[in-house]
Amino acid sequence: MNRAFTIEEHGAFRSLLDAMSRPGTVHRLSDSVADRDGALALLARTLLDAEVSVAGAAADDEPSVRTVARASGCRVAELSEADFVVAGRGSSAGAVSRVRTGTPDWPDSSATLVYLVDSVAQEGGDAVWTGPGIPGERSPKVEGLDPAEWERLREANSGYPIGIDCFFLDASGRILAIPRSTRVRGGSR
Amino acid sequence: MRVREWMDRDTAPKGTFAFLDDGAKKDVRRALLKAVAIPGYQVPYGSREMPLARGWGTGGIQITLSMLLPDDVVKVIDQGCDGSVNAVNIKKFYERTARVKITTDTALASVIQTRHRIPEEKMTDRQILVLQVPYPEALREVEPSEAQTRRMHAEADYGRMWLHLYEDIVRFGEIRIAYRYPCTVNGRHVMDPSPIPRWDVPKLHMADTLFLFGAGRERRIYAVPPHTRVEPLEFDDHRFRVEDFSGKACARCGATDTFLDEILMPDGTRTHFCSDSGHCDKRRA
Repeated sequence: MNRAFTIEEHGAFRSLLDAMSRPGTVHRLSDSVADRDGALALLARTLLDAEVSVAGAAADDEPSVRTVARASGCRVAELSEADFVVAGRGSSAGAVSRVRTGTPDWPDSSATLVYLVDSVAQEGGDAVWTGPGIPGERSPKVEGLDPAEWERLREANSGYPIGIDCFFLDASGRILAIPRSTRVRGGSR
Repeated sequence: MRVREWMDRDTAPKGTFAFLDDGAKKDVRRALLKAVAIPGYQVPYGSREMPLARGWGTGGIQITLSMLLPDDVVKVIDQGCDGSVNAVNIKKFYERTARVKITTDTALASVIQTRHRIPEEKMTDRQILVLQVPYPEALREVEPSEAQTRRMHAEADYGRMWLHLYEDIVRFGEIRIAYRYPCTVNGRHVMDPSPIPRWDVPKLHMADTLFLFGAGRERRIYAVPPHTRVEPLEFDDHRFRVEDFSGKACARCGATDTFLDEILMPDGTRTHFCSDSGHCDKRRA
């Protein structure tokens, strides 16, 4: 295994961990990755292997699913079975209501969603986020996300601790996360 | 080859960076992200064999190894002490397998791994504290079955824990839990904060720092993200309180605002020293 690759994955994980611990903050997975496909592949090889599976939210997410599977060696599965779900073009096309959200005893057995969007910013959104990892409140902006997704996510996460955690990956390879523990108030994006 | 030569030989460039194989690291990373997303909930993971026995910090070690960076500065403490055999060996292991810098200064560390203490110095948002956990289940005292405790967490059914605390008050006039004091995290999950003294429990509440908990033997990972409510269980008329060291001071640095260890001296008298050796050293410097 290439040592530089391994270290790059360690760095990418620290960014993912930071993003999930501080919802709404913007992070870069690696200094050498400045595009969405590169970032998606790096995310995949940082977290995934043959133990887990990936699916696309819609039929036209097939190229992204291939990127993830090729980079990590993870399996490709049905939407309702997958551990990771890629939602290209900023929309899950309603798939959020069909992915795994975990069980009361094992809420961690849920899917993680990765939305591919245009851009992410820590400020400028019109919804207010509160919860663990957020001092007071934050209003991040996710451009290129179907506004209907917010309502779908709210629905999927209404039975906390059951729910799904999401990453938003933008065109320049930046990332922002929203765990199921974050409450979103008002706004449409 | 003599033992000393064997220990000093340069093995790092040949081995995998940070010892663990990719599959083990990815498993730990996925568990960590879920743990952060559900504060205080115990996520199962496939704890691997480590070059030391389970029960000696393997949960914390696997977390640290999954995220170490070559430019990290790492501090490892055992019951507050930088110099215990267990802490020193873990530090050497990281130095050798990930080429990180080692420190005893809390302020200089980017990652701190600890057994049973949280440093006295306030940690920042640029630091991560990794806690080694022997018993991850806070409810184990009141329910021996894992299936049952999992159900109790699922239903937020913590009545028996409250009863346990109440019975302590009835019998002894106060809650007698000295360490592993149960806390409610994010208003939802009751969590075992690991065997830290009561003194350290308030440091978890609304902190700037990310706290990661690893139980290697029990194969569980859980977390407290920054700015998260961590509230010790208490009653209106029996509030949670930390240890009382009033009238006592560290015999070495004179501190009156730290967690003190009581030491039996050779002449039979008792004296007190700071439990956090790095902090004590810094005050004396």
